[in-house]
Amino acid sequence: MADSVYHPILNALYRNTNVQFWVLQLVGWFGLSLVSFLSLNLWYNQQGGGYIGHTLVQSALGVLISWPLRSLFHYFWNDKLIFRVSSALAGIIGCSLIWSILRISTFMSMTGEKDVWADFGGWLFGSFLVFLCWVAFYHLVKYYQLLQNKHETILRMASDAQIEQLKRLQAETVAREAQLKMLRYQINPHFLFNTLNAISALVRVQESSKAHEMILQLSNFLRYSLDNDPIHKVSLRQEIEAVTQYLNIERTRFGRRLQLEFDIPFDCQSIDVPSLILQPLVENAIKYAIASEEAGGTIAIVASLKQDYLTVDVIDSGPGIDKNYGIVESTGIGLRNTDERLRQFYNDDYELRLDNKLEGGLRVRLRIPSN
Amino acid sequence: MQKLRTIIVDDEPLALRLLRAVLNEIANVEIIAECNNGKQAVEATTKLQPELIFLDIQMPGMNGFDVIKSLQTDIMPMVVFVTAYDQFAVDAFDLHAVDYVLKPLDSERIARSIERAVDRLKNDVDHSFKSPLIGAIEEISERASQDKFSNVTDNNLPDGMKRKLLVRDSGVVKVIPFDDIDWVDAAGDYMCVHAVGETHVIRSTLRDLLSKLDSNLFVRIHRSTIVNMERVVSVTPLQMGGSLLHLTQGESLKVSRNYRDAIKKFFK
Repeated sequence: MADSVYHPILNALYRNTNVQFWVLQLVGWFGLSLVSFLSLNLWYNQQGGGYIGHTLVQSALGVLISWPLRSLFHYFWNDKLIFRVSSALAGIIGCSLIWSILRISTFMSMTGEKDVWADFGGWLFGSFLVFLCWVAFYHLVKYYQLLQNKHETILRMASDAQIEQLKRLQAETVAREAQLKMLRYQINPHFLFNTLNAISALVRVQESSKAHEMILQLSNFLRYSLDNDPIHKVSLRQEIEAVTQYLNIERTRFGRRLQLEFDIPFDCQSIDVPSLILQPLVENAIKYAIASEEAGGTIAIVASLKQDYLTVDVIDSGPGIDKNYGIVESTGIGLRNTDERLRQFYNDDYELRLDNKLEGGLRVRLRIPSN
Repeated sequence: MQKLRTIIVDDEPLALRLLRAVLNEIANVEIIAECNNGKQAVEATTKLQPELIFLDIQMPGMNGFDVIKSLQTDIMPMVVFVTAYDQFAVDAFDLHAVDYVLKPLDSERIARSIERAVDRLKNDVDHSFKSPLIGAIEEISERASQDKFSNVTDNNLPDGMKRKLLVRDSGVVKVIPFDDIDWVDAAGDYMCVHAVGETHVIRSTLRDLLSKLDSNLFVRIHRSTIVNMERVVSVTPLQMGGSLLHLTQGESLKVSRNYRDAIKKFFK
């Protein structure tokens, strides 16, 4: 609830309990003087400024005498019920005694009436009722405020929880979209139909063991893509195995045009990496260095471990990238996905960079924490 | 029965083997060349002048569409495109009645393509095969570029610009000086302008373009082909009276018997 919705005075009345106390205190006590004017002064036909003045004076006295009660209740608020009740009772009795005495003495001096002390019991009884009401009303308001506060807190918590849930849903949507994109990327229709065509060729020319091998490679690759959730991690060894399945299929398709080189030291193999993270990099290399080059080329995957960081380089012999363009323009949607996924896993604690090699070709470097 | 002289083109060795195996089982097909890339396909087609070509679209260097664009209209064989997956292309092919087969190859589908080619060879006396091909290719590249540029005409250009040709390539308008043009061929409503190793497709007629070009430089060598004579480096005579012109960019163009005299004039 925005505070600025109300006028500052209304707002203070709404929010500030001190202001609320004093407004109710003054309205209550001078309401009492109005009631006593109407019921006593008019009924008994008590004319004269003294009588009317006295109703105002006794209200003013009431304001002052009841004031310390607030501190008393504050003091005992969190104590046991028995202390609170007895302190309240003592307060009521004390205040009514003082108020009665002061009321009678001011009444006698202001109106000149005598022998009022004889009626002390009646005056005390009235006082006692007034202060009982005051205390009851005080607690009523106080508990109402507490209830209100609690209600607001609950509402705020509920809305916080809702915002939290919304955020979580958004994050899940982003992750799911990434997964869908990955799947669509994996099962690239061009790759799939060309591979099936190559298998068909092997069957046709009766090279059945090669055809069989290629069917297994394709199945393994598809299974890995479908089984592995992109929000999970796998060991680098598993990831390299999957990429190898893919590259072996491409080697069968492209023949001598595709040369492969791997250098994955043993100490890197058990390090966890996001699953399917290398796939788009390798697919890019195929697209630019092999499929677009009549003479074909080489794709090398080189890993190294240094100072708690794993570096994986995917190096190709293609035309490289135009440095005037960013990653996205020069390599398409694939690397932007990779960048987004790495950010989800490692925040800013990773590196994804593209460099043209001096001798020609592109090096895509992936650097991530090794633990 | 006369066999269809056929060239097959694919950059993947296995795909080429499958195509060969399937076609070998069809009686009226004779494979006269196998090519691994677009450049070889253009050379083989110019040299051997086949009746039919099976042309893979996705290839390194020159892709299937580049091959079509750089082949002379007058020697354009019938074409069956081969593609793994390209919904855009397939729609455009259907629209322009261009034949295609999908990978993995289906031998029945290929047999139907052959029947269709035999029919066309018999009935289509014009043999104007390039026009629908260019129509389909243009449509594909327009959809791919997606940019909707308004049609550029050169009517209201300043004088300095009139010695140049405006072409639209993938949504970008390029200016080509007439002197840069190597050769031009017409394919139906389209003209393929070959300049400095690139081919640009424009909507125009041969007559319209000829009227703008310098007639001392540009000569008609075939029904649908104009060549910039300054680009000719050598001539090979062919049997039957025709000849081949070899250009600086490495292309070879066929000169028809009917236009022989126009060429002779230049070499006197």
